Amino acid sequence: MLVQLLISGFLISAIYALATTGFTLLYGVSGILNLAHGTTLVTAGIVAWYVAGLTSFGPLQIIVAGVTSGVVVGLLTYALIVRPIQRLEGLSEADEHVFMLVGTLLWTIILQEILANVFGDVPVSVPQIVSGVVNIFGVRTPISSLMVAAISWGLLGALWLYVGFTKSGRSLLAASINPRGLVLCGFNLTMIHQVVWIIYGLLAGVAGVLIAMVHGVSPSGGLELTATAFSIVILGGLGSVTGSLIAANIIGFIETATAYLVGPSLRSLPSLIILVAVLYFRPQGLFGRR
Amino acid sequence: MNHPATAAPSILRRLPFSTTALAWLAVPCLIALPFLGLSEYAIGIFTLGLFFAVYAMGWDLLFGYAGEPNFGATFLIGVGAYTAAMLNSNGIAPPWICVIAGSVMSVIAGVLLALPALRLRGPYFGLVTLVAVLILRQLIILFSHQTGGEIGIAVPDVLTLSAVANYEIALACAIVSAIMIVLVARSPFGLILQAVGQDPLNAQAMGFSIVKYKLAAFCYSAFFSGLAGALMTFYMGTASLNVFVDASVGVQIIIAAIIGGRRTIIGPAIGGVFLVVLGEYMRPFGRLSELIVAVIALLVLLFLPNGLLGLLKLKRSAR
Repeated sequence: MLVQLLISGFLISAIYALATTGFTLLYGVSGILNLAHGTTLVTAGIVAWYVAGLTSFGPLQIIVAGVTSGVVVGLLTYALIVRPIQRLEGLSEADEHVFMLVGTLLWTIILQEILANVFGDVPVSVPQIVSGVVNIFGVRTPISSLMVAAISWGLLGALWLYVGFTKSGRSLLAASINPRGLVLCGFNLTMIHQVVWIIYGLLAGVAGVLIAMVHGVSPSGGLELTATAFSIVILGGLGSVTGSLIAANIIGFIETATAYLVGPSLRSLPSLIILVAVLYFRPQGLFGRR
Repeated sequence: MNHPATAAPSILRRLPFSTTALAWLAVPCLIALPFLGLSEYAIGIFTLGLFFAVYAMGWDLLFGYAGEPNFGATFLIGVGAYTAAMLNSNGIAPPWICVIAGSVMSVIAGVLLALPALRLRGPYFGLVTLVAVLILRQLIILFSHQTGGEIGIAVPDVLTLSAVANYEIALACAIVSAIMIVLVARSPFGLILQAVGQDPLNAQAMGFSIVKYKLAAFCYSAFFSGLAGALMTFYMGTASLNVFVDASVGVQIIIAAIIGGRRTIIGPAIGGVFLVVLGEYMRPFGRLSELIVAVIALLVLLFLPNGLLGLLKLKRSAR
């Protein structure tokens, strides 16, 4: 029982970590809370499912299709919603925040309805990458679930290398710390924001396909995914990637434990309560800076 | 100043009108509306629109004046609606007592929602309000024996069976709310509230208590939201999650306020009625209707950020 709980907690945490990192990165670098995040994940998952059903495509093509749609949705969000709102004149800072949240929420509804009309409003899931199960300490675990966890952590490792050790990655980090200084050093901030949106799309695309593989996705399930991402990001601290990785594990394990010990229908309640407690007592989260 | 674009509606600019005068002119028209040969169905739509108008006005007092982006308007409305429904369905109290109890409980919910607002700023607070709605939803599902869970809870009593009378009740609720909220917004209290919302540090330095003013604004806004929520419960006959405790309904309220024009109180009321009527008008399109309404709202957001009344104000200030 305990081993089972640990293993499924680990698997779900890996996906949560990947699904949240793009969201955090986006907030850290460009200060935007993308409420269409969950629907971006769902779009990638549904496109991957559609491609998988078309012909006998291999797993690689399926993932590529999902990731491409993630990037496309990311760039569309930037070009159609975020950029126009930033360009509006006469908005105070509070106005812009509300406009951004409302704009991305409307975008969520638009995407959701388009998906439901094109692909039907039903839950779909992408076929497993590989079949077979392994026995870990007496718990039968599908190999593909382990693969999913490996892909998640591998991608997060790659992101860490990119941000820490390449010039373009370091400029992202600089943009989150001091955007004005970066501009004074001759960097093009708009271009950096575009790069962030592409990376965001990549991460969301992969995460979306993986979620569709493990849990299945449906057009109307986007907001729920956004809410989970929120809980994680706020617990870890808005804009802190390390924080959200740790928080993803905390929330993942707590949700799994609740689902096993109390009941699956209440799985999201403890994380909501933690979320409110954090917001009351430590609004900047575990690792956030204000 | 003789720019062709501003010169066009010259009559509009010469009229010595104010939005207040227009609003007073609208009152008799609104009272007479159900007697103009509208079908009971159409009257029903306007009734819902008027309740929505109250929600949007309550939101505007919090955002436009106190500067708090409340994404959980349905938290306040839901508490009012469910209090009224639970009291009535258990046979504890007659409808009017339930409505009053709903408003009072909603004020208490307003205090709960105000507590994080005193500690958090901007987007953080917006998130808390969103989460508040999700938690209320979970709680209602958790205690489904008392609350009816996802199906909803039916109220046995009605205020009145006549569509016209129901309309006039909603209208009375909307007009009283509008007068009370506009009075507060234009009073010295409203000015201080704006100061507290826009520059809390300076407001505090001038000796105004942020805690006192924000709490009062939340209670005031919550009272009218709860009142309208409870009345709407009796009008609809049920309190259900998807009508009263839903994040997307909260977003619709914000959209209504933006379409009408933020910081005008009357604007959001117009936006509320408009949005409900528009949604109904689009109903024949089936699932596409939500898409169309969302696209229209997005276009207004991007191209008319000050809303309908904001447009009028702009014209007048260009004089």
